Amino acid sequence: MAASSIETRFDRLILLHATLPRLAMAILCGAGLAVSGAILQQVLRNPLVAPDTLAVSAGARLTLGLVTLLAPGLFGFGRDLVAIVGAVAAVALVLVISRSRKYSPVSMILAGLVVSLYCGALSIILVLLKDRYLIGLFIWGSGSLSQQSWEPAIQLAMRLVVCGGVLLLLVRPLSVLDAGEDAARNVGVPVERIRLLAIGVAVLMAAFITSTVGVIGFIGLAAPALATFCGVQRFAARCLWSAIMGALLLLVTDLAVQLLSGDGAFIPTGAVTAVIGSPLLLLLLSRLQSRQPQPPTNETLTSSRVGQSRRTALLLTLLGAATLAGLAALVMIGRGPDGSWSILNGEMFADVLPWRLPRMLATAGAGGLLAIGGYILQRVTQNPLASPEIMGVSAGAIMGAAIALSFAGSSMDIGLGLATTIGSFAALLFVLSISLRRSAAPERILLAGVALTALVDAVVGLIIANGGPSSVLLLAWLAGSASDISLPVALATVGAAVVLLAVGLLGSRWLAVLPLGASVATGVGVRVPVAQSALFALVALTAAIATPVIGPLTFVGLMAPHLVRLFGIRSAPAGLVLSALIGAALMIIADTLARTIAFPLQLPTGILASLLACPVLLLLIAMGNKR
Amino acid sequence: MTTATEASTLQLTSGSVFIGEARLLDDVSISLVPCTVTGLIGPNGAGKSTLARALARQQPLTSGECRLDGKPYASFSSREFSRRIAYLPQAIPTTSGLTVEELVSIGRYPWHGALGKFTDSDRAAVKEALAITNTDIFADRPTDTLSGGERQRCWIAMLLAQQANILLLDEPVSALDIRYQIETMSLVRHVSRIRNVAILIILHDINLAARYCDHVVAMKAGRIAWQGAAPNLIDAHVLEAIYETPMAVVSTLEPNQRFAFAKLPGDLSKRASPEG
Repeated sequence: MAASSIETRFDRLILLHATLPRLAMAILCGAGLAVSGAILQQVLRNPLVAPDTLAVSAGARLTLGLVTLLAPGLFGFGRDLVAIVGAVAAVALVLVISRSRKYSPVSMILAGLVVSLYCGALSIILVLLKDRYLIGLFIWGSGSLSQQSWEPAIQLAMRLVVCGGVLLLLVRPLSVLDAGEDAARNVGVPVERIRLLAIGVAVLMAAFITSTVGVIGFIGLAAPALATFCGVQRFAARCLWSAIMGALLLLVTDLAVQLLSGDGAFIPTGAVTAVIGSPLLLLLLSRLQSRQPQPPTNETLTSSRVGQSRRTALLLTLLGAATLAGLAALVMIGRGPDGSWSILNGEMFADVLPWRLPRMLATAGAGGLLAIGGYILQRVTQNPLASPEIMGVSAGAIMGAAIALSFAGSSMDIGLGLATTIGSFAALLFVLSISLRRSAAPERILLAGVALTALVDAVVGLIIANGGPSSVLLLAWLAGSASDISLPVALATVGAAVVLLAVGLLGSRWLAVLPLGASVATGVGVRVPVAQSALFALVALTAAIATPVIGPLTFVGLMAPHLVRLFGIRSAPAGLVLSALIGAALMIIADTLARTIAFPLQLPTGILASLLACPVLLLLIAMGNKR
Repeated sequence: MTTATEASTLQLTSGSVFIGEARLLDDVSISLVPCTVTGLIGPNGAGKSTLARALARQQPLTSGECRLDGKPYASFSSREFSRRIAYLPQAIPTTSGLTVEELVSIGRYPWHGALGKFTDSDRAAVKEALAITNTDIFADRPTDTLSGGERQRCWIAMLLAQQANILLLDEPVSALDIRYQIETMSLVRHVSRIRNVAILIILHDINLAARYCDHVVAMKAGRIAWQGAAPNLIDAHVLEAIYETPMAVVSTLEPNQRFAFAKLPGDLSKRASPEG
């Protein structure tokens, strides 16, 4: 009797101080993120912005990580303040970068994506460098809602209520923005000031939430999209319904997580929101209309330079090849056992080369492959954001591997290769079928890819969380297995890059015609479906070969084609070759750095590649229009 | 100068396009013959673009049959077809980064294909197309730096480089000012004569149609409402039947200068008089 009463008391205690606060937290965070997303979408007139896509969460996460590891004393000023500094800095960076492009939706999302990628890569490097066992930061990074008391929920609620109060004052002027900026100014709304204030409120809300529970993805994007889909038109109503949808989404997800994880296994909710949120978004995507007419979607990030002769293209290509050859010499540079820098000499050469050469060859080949895939995708879809990584092709490859590993259990290379190819092709087909059903607006295709990537990430995350021998293999895959690759495999990767480049060159006439649209292409006798599926099959193949080597997160496939275009190369064959060369060169530099900067620790090459390429790309986006 | 055949004839017999309940094209028969400019006019939504797309094999027919030189469309491969029929869509896509010459060279695709060599005859055809349309002066400039009229001429040059025997042009002059409209129409007429080409051109300006076309077909609600020799179009009764709007025709003192226009309500002199 007494024992059972203690038990009930204990249960009651858990209910009061862990379960209920957790429910409250889920509702608060879901609603807050959703409203933040709704505000951002209204202010920036862009159905794709959300706290995650504008790098708010990533920025907050990075500064929190930095402070935790380097200067814990700063938390004395308050955890929220640290998060806010990071969030505001990230958003400011995104806005400054996209200002030169008049805040156009695509450039803003591109900038946001790259900034958050950069912050994410920095966070990971930070953890790897400073303390490999600081797993807590990872767990927090993926958003855990578990609570021990009411305190955090109450604190967060108070902060969100203040933000909500400011928002109430802003509802009217923000609603007027629906009629367009000029009309709003016409009726006396100080558009710039209102905008800044509203963005400030949205960023604050997201920063508070991130600082309390970590990064919870997808709610800020999915909830307003859901509300819009349900036919909610006016801004005030959209805020309200977004909040309800967001709270429900997160609550349901969190309950599912608690039920599923049951005993022992720890699954961060933030990682799982994607499992529920992304299929929902994918489902709605084909019916989701952009609320406001979008500016012309054929926006490209080309600088229109005058008069580009064939000779310049050839010269640049030769120059690129020479640079690549020169970079290959980096294989000679390394660090000795004592950490000192050295260049390989005669006798060491034979000993060390077998370790370094395969790795460099494989990463260079994989970089080239992804760059070829990215160039083809960007050309055919006329979408400056298309790349194997962003469109979920790489994620599909990983998914294929995950399924093969967990069902077959073996690590048979041939079966695995087949599974990755099928996975990447299925992902590509899926994204394209969604986006091509109507006009292939860049937003639509991008959203489909992002949603798919998030879904695959989450599923893979769950497989890993379940443990087992296959999860270890899969983890190695995710980081890219370049470090322990054999010479034959490395040579095969390079060979594949060369072969697929040649195949791509055979299709370069198509690459010139297809950007003009299906109607014109058909008019000059191109069988558009045949041409498109052939090229897309090529892209799927590049991702399937490259992803196992360098992991899914390199973004070389996004960067390299942009660098090519910013060099002013427009002709398809030259662009394709140069893109492959740039991709390979980026990876060689990244590989050398990954090998040396944290010696004796070897960093993941893919992450270093994105660290290298992101700033260049951001700079180029920011400067683009001034020339 | 090589062309696929000396000249081609296109024949559509009772073509219909139904999409759901909507009858976009309803039992239309039309033929295009060499050395002739056929103007296609009619109110918005009459099915003009649908007809052009059907003739260009870009819109499948619900019923009826298209024949090119007496053979059914299906017997031509994509490239064979494009060597004979060139089509300029109404919405011209943006061409980021292409120079004029590169754009015009794309018209050679049906001749060299995906893998073939860009030969001297291709180069000659591009050069000639640039010269005829007077676009050779800005051949090296990116198309997105040109004005609307210049860009329109580049696209016509691309169609000419295609060296097809039949050109289907969907509103090629709507975005142009009056001078470029006249220039483009004389270019179209000129090309039909020197190349022995059959041209179908969709127009909104009835006076341009009457002046520069040989034959005019007027559509209304998916059907052909009137057709005849171009000068006969300038007739108030004919036009009122097509557009369901009061029309009038005036003649100037010069011979054969007759113009049709819509009668607008209101009195201009009263509107123009100063108030005080």
